[in-house]
Amino acid sequence: MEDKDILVQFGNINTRNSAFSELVKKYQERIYWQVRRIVIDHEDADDVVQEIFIKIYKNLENFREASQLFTWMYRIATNESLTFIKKKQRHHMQSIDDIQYDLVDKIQNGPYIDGDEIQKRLQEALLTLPDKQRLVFNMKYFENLKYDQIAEITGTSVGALKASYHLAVKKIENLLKQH
Amino acid sequence: MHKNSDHNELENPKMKDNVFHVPEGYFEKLHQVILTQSELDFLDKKALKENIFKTPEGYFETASQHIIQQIEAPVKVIPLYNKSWFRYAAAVAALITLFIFGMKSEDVTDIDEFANLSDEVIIEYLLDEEISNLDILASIDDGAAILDELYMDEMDALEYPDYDNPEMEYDFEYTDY
Repeated sequence: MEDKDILVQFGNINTRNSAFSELVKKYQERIYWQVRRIVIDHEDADDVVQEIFIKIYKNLENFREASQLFTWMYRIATNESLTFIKKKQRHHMQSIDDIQYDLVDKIQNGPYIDGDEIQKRLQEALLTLPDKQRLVFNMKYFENLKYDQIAEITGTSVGALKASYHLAVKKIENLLKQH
Repeated sequence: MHKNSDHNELENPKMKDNVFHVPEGYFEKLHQVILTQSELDFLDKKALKENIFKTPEGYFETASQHIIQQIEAPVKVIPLYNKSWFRYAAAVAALITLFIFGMKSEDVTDIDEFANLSDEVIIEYLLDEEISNLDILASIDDGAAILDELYMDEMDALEYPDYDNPEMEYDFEYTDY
């Protein structure tokens, strides 16, 4: 179903829930992978994705189609992922280093991760980036989003994103060369 | 005429001989150079872009059902008197009421009497008098502190689904690098 049809049906109280069900089925995987690359753990990603879709449901009526539906949802997903990490740090009174240590452990030994050593090394190196830079790196490197799409999602200029991505690539390459 | 002679020369097999040469042993080294280069351009390796994260089998089928179930579940209505800001306002209003009536009447002389007032009585009073919590707060000395506390409560409350305002515009917090 096309996004515009989903939105029309969502606007009708009689077809709202079925339209939302279509929306979830259509986008849940892309949203999930975006979240998963940030929070690393499957259970955490599962919680965050559910929270994201509930927020989408509650705010979809206010969506004014000024941007693409997916871009808008990505924006919510991005923000919720970052908020989750901040909350986790606050609630568990953990330092950034503690959280990073936990995440590295999950990459090495956690369930539902199946990569070779070099792929895991990349994920570990990514954890050394500031969260927002890691997010930009993921969108550009793994998801092949264009800079103007990322700019729309993050509300940042294309120039700033290019600089951020360039810095991230340099940092990661240096880290990988050290091993 | 001239063109014809050029054409004939191009048909000479010798013209296709490679006139360029490479240093001795170049191709043996090239393999290593490429490998080193690819090591330097580590991030260009296609394998690195592969998704190493997995999900439990059938996860996406059940996940969408969970989300839909949550959406379709009846909305939990929080009575007004359960809202933290309302309780603060009610308590402040009750204190003011006691103070005012305490000045006029000898019946209410002990602050312990406040404890005997039920929430319902306080709420009824507030509704009857149409006193807004901001008016009450403005009339007392530590109004600003209480307002700050109310604000913090509301901000915390936004983090939990039960308290979410469905009409809330989604604000994006992405600010810096």
